[in-house]
Amino acid sequence: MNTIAAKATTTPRNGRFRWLVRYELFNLFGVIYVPFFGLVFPLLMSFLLANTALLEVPAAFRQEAVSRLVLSMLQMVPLAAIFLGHGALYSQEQEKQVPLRLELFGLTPTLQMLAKMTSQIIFMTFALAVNLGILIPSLNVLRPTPAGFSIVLLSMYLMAVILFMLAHGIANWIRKFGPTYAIVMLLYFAFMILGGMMGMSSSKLPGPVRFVAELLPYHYITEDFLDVWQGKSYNFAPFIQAMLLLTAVSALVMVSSFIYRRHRSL
Amino acid sequence: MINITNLRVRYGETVAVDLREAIRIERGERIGIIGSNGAGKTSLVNALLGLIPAEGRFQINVPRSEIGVHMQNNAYAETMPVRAIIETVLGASLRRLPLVQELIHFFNFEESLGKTYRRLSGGQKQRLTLIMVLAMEQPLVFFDEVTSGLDYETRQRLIDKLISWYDERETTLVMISHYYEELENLVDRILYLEQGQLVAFGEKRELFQRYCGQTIITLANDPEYLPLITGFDRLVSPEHLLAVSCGNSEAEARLTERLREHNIDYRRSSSDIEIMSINALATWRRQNGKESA
Repeated sequence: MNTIAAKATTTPRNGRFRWLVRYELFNLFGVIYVPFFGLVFPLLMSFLLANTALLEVPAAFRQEAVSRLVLSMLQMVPLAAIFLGHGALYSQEQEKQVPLRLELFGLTPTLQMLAKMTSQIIFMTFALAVNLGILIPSLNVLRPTPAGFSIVLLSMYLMAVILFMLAHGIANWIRKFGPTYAIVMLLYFAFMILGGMMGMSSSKLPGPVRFVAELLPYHYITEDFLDVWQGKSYNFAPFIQAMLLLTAVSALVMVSSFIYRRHRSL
Repeated sequence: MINITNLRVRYGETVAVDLREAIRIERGERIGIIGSNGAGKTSLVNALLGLIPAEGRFQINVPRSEIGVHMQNNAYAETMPVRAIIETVLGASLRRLPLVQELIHFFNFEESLGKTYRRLSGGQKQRLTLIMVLAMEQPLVFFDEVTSGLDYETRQRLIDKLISWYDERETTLVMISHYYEELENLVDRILYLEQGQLVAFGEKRELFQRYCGQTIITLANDPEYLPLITGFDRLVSPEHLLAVSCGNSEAEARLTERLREHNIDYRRSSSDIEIMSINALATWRRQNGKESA
């Protein structure tokens, strides 16, 4: 018998969840790399690549190529804002025991995690709106059908949740800013290269690397989602398989981190 | 409110806490936990709070949500506005929290509200957490080295505030401190740990009488003064002091008269925690066959 009589509730109490979400939004905008990589970087890359690499594309195919590029760059929003941003921020907080301090004030880890995810989703919605609002008219991107637009957005949000789990798990395992930042940065660039977001199509990668790229959903968004965007028929099976694989890996990393940390308190 | 039958904390092969005696802390009591560095004070509190793995039979009969904790290190996001930290922890706008406004005024914290957390000084950071811990008005509060890292004046001011705040309340306090003078006016019982084991636990006055007698007289440790205290019970004391136990008023009167005749400054006490703790430790070492440090 070595217990505290009752655990604090994870249910938002006295509206504290709302305040916690606001706290996390302050947290996100307080560090430069989240707004930069999540908001500014995809815009910069889109304009840069559209006005350099894609200039050689024949005029007849240019609008399609630019549209494909923009859809590909949109993936950077969840990748940068949530995966890179949350991984770096959360590990920094864990290193300083900020989550423990908040937990001792009755803000449970579950409540904190939900608030972080909510604030990240709010930020991502804002970043997606800004990116689409600027890129679609200024780069003359092909107009989507309502269904295509919804599917692309849904994919981004699913990706956001999956990447949040992966980043949370990695940060919770390591609980040190330096190594966590190195790992998420490495994975961030790996995902971008394998997903064709760095200007080189993943279908042109060498055999074994292409095999790995095809295990990830980014490859399908970059290569195929222009069809989805325009409402054309598309076989979603490989994309769904890749999403399920990434979900399984992310959930495994996150859940195992909880189990590991339960036995290594503080 | 807190019952410990036995409690053991281990870090690998090292035993940090090994309590084998029953300890019971009742509602409304104020406990000071003392001991040298590495004595197991923080480990004991962390174990009670379930923050580190521990073996044994121990229980806090209060829901977690009713326990306030001020740790040694209390950190928040560096870029966070101080006002946002307070509003998040307390779940409401400052305008709707009259008690917090009172505390902010009480701790002269008004000008810190507009800053971010990283712009606060050490003392302001301590006060921020204190304000939030006090504002939650929980029935059981743990303070772990609440004044660590602060200069003497700030420490005194903070403790005076705490004393005056809790003077009007029934809160159960468990306070770890290296500074005995902080505990003098704030706690009524002492729990003394050494090498993770219990040296003494009881009422401040009772422990003082057990280890020091009715009163003590302390004076500077000058070899010339030694003949003056011959015939009295000398206590173990810090190197710079001579401490003498006075078992009754007559003994005290004889000694003080002698010191006055020789114009020697002295200090009388019936509650000195430092001298009590040194003598409790000496007794514990003798009884347990431990070598002196």
